[in-house]
Amino acid sequence: MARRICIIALIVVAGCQTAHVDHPVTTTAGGTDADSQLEFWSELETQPITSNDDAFHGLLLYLDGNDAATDYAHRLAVLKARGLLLQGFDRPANEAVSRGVLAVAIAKVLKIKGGVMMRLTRGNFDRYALRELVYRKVYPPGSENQTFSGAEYVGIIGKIDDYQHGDPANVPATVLPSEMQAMARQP
Amino acid sequence: MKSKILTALSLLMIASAALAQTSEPTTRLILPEGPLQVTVTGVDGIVRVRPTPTDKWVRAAVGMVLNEGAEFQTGPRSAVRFVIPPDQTVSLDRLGTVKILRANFENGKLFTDLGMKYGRTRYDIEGAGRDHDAKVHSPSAVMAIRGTTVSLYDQPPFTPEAVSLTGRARFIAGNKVIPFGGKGQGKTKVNQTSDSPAQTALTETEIDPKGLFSGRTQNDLAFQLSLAAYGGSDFSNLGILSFLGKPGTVIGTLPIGESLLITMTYADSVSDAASIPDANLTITDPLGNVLSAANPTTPDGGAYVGKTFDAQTNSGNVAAQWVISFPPGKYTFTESFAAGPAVGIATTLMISDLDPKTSASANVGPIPATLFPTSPTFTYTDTFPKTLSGGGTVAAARLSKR
Repeated sequence: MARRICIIALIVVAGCQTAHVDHPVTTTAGGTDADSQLEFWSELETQPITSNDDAFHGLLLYLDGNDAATDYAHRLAVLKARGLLLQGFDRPANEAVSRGVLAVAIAKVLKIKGGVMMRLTRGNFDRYALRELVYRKVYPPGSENQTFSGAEYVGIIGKIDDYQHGDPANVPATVLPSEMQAMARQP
Repeated sequence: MKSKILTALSLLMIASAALAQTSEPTTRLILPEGPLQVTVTGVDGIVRVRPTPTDKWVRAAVGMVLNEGAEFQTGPRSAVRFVIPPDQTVSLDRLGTVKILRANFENGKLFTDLGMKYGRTRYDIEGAGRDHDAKVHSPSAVMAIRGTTVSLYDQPPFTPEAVSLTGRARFIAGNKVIPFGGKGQGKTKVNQTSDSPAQTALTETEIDPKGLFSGRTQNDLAFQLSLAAYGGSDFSNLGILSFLGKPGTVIGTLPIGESLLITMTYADSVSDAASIPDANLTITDPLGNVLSAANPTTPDGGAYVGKTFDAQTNSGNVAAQWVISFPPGKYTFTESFAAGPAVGIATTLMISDLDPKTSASANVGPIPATLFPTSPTFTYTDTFPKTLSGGGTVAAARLSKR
């Protein structure tokens, strides 16, 4: 009986653990030159899980066009300094990224103020940030405790791009997104 | 005669042949049979390409000429545009990969097949008069294109979808084949979870209850009208919401979701067929709004229904109501003499506080009064809402119906 309880307890404990990634993509394609960046996105798209390190590296690549941070600790410091991550965030680099943590950062990047609860929590509460992103179709429906696969993370970054710069599906193929934005800026 | 007819027919044939030759566009590109070359015409951001799967990736540049088997990859905030002669333009938007599986001209028909691993591909075919067989494949869907402007989006975790800006195309996902779009029809969207563009539009439509197209019912409109008395047409400035940058009148009490029905009957106090009695009713609500024949509505939803007179019984009736809700507090009912005999007219006031959801009610009255020309008014004050009884909860009412 005691043996059974031990086995069940082990299963429960193991089942509740957050998934980890053995080799984050940043270890093989973490450079910031154009080729490395494209290699990073290409390789990340095939990953079953997105790690914290990959997610934050990808976010910085999207925001700045490069990632000056040399390692995960540096990346965290940069994102915390910008207010995109909570000061108390200390999850390891190879742990699966949480949708909620990413939602808080993305909502701040997109300057989404949100509803009553999100405003009251200054956008720092993952649940409300996630729900706001779902409402704006930047995120798929889901929980803040879920994670993203590599392909899903790439899809989210694409949606952020559409949200910020407009949906190119509204213009013919002859118009590139940069031309679309230039047209939109014309009086 | 027979030879003349033959001559005329042959002349007609020659003329029509000549006409057909002149109507052929002189600028039409004559394509050789076989594979077509693809030319890059625009690059945004970081884009790379490899001519064949065994080649190394190189940065894409405008003017590059590629063949079947070439593959493009775009980074964030990037896009690439290429042309497949003579009349097809393709754009691959941010964070996508597309491969030219087939691009050739056979038996007078243009065959194009693109394999999109993920991302969004936009496709324009402008060639009226040419026969095309153009497709974009993705892991979850296929889009077959005719002369049209369309795009296919397939990227987890979102539902694959196709958009037509103009022209007809087919969206194939699993067992479903959905034709969508039309010439000059405007933007039409279809996705994997719906069976038609109409269903997609229906599921994606969000109606703002405060918007122009909200389709309010009469009750909704009356309720909205009644809310004006509480500082606005919604609750955005009540309670906690008032902290969010929308200052306004904040009244701490919400309206009561019950109806207040008022009836006053009047008749001669001593029956006299020669006289025609008349009396008026004026109601002042807790917010100070006055409801009367001269002022038949109030901003909080009060309505003066009207006055009726029955000549046979020589008596009249005045009715007023707050149907959707009413402000809680003290109401003042003032009856006034308008016409009648010197012996006065007798009035009876009835007030009913009713919850339409449960049919529970509280009735006040009848409150009798006599109005004289010398003492023409009678005033009654009372506080509403009352404690209702005789009904049940909505759930109980439903259960009893079952």
